[in-house]
Amino acid sequence: MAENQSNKVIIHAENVDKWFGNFQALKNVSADINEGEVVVVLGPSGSGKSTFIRCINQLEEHEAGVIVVNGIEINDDSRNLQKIRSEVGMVFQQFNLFPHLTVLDNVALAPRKVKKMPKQDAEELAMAGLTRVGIPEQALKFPTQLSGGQQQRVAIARALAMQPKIMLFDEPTSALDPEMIKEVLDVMRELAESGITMIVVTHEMGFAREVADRFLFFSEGEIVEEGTPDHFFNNAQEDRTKLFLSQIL
Amino acid sequence: MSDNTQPNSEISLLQRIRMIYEDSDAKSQLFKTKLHTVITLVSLVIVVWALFTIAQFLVTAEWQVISDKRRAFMIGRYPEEHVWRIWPTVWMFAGLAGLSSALWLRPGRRMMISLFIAAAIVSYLFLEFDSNALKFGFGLLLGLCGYALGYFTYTKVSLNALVVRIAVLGWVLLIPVILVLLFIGDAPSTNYWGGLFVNIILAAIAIVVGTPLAVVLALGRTKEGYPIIRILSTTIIEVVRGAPLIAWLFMGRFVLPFILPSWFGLNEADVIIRTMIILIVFNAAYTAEVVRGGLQAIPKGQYEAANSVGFNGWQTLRLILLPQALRAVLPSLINQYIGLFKDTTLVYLISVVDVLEVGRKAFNELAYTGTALEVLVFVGFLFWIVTWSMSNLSKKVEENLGLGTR
Ligand SMILES: Nc1ncnc2c1ncn2[C@@H]1O[C@H](COP(=O)(O)OP(=O)(O)OP(=O)(O)O)[C@@H](O)[C@H]1O
Ligand SMILES: [Mg+2]
Repeated sequence: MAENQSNKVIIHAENVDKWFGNFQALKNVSADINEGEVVVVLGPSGSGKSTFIRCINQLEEHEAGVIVVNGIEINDDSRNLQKIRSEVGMVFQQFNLFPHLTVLDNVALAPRKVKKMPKQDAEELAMAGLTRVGIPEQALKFPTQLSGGQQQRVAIARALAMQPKIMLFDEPTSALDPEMIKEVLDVMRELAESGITMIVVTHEMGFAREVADRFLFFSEGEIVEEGTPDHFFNNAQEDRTKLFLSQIL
Repeated sequence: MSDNTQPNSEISLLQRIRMIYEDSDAKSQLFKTKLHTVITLVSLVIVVWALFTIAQFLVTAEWQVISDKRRAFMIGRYPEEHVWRIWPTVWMFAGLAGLSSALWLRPGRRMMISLFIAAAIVSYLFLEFDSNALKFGFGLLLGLCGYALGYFTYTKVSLNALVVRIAVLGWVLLIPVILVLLFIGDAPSTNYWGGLFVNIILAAIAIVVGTPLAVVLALGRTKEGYPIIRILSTTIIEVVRGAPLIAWLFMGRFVLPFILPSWFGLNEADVIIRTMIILIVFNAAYTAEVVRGGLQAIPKGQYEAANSVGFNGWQTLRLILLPQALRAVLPSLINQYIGLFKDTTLVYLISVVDVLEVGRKAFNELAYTGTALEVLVFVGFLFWIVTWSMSNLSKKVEENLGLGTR
């Protein structure tokens, strides 16, 4: 996807530390991610992958270090927080759709209430989004009436409806039955080609290799290796990386 | 519409019972063994005996007291020349109830027809009594008109939105309108309030004002990072729940005047007003715990999703958390409200003459000695109508929200 990349850094993380009580989940993590780049985050369970991407939209607060998203530095100012969150969309492992709203309202609500878009415009936008992820016909159903794959696609449409510059994916296919994984990955592949900045935590190595510009490998709260997919598959340096790859492939 | 699959009404009741009996397992179950047979026969005897006793009571009872005191049962000794203050709210309620049931509870022609027949019968019965019956009939008519309006605009999208807005506005304004009508001009003092009217207005205000307060208390109690707010909310809830309602009502009557601030003459407020305050707080404390249960049942992922699409705290609460929490606890909420409504009868202890107290006074009159059972059955019946409507309403709402399926 290198053709989509610019040299503009859109996410800048520098020496980020994150503690859960006495446990340090992120240790001195630094990374620069360019606009349009697709970054896949790898690592064993508990290595801090989720924590890292959740720090980017501040679902977790970091204790030390600097995070700058699209030129806005994260600090205690809640207006900054709101601004950053409207630039960053997130897709969760468990979908987290709003069960009391129809699919259409799930997607249209945030543009309406956060961006103060008129109802009709927001619904048109939502329908366009649902068409993009391939399920416009499900618009009036409720989330529980959909299959897992469809729910996850709604979740992607919901995040996209805010027209974010950055999309975070935290194991978006891990809760899905095998036959539904492909439909979600297809949507993500299309997204990656569209040029949006993406950070994806996933164990789908085929997909990762295909779309990623860069891998970040986490172990015990640190980034121990990073590089292109080719580097990882042919030329990994660290023992921990090699061990991990040998287990997952 | 599934309404049309109802059993054909041309079949007589007896035939229908026989059909049910033939269809069901009952035929094989009721007389399966000797023990089954004995149980069946004994139950049958008890049921027949009970039905006979009830029928006998209904026929031989002295219903004169109900008819004589029907006005007092409804509004106590509220002066005749001020009754106009009460009727408009009855009509408003009837119209709104009709409109809303058509708008939100799956409109059907069958329901409208049965409503119409009921209205006709009741109006006819009451017409024989007095002119108040006419006004009652007018209320039913308004309810019917409301229903028809809701029914016919149901399919017309643009009109429907407007009518929905009117209905919501009407419900919001209902209690303020009641209060304004009851207090403007040379209104009679609240000492004249009485009858079922008092029970309903006390419960309604405790519910309408107490529930938002309950949400605030519930949020306060779950709020992390603000220990003062949490301790305050927890204390209020626990203290209020710690003492029986009667104790609080006595507090309202005898102690509240000394501790209330003097704004707007609050410390000199009537007993009824103080009772309202007590009931609001009492209801809020109990409802808060119900709401808190609902809030705690919401998965963490909902907060995260709401935050990640950019909702601020207030939007998350209003759009995501409360709708889910209140839906989940709707049955317990209605349960709480029904209990509260019946608890309003305790106000007789602080000399408010509610419907039960009207009844007690009536059967203590010399002219009506020996009619206690009739009076109590009637009062019980009134309570049953209200609580039954509430539970039916909640059942309908649950169905419409798809509770348990979504
Ligand atoms: N809210 C929390 N409280 C305490 N510890 C936490 C919390 N969230 C995460 N942790 C711990 O932080 C570490 C990193 O967690 P994280 O969820 O980032 O791992 P991960 O790499 O995403 O793992 P997985 O592949 O299992 O999702 C883990 O040891 C986890 O137990
Ligand atoms: Mg994780």
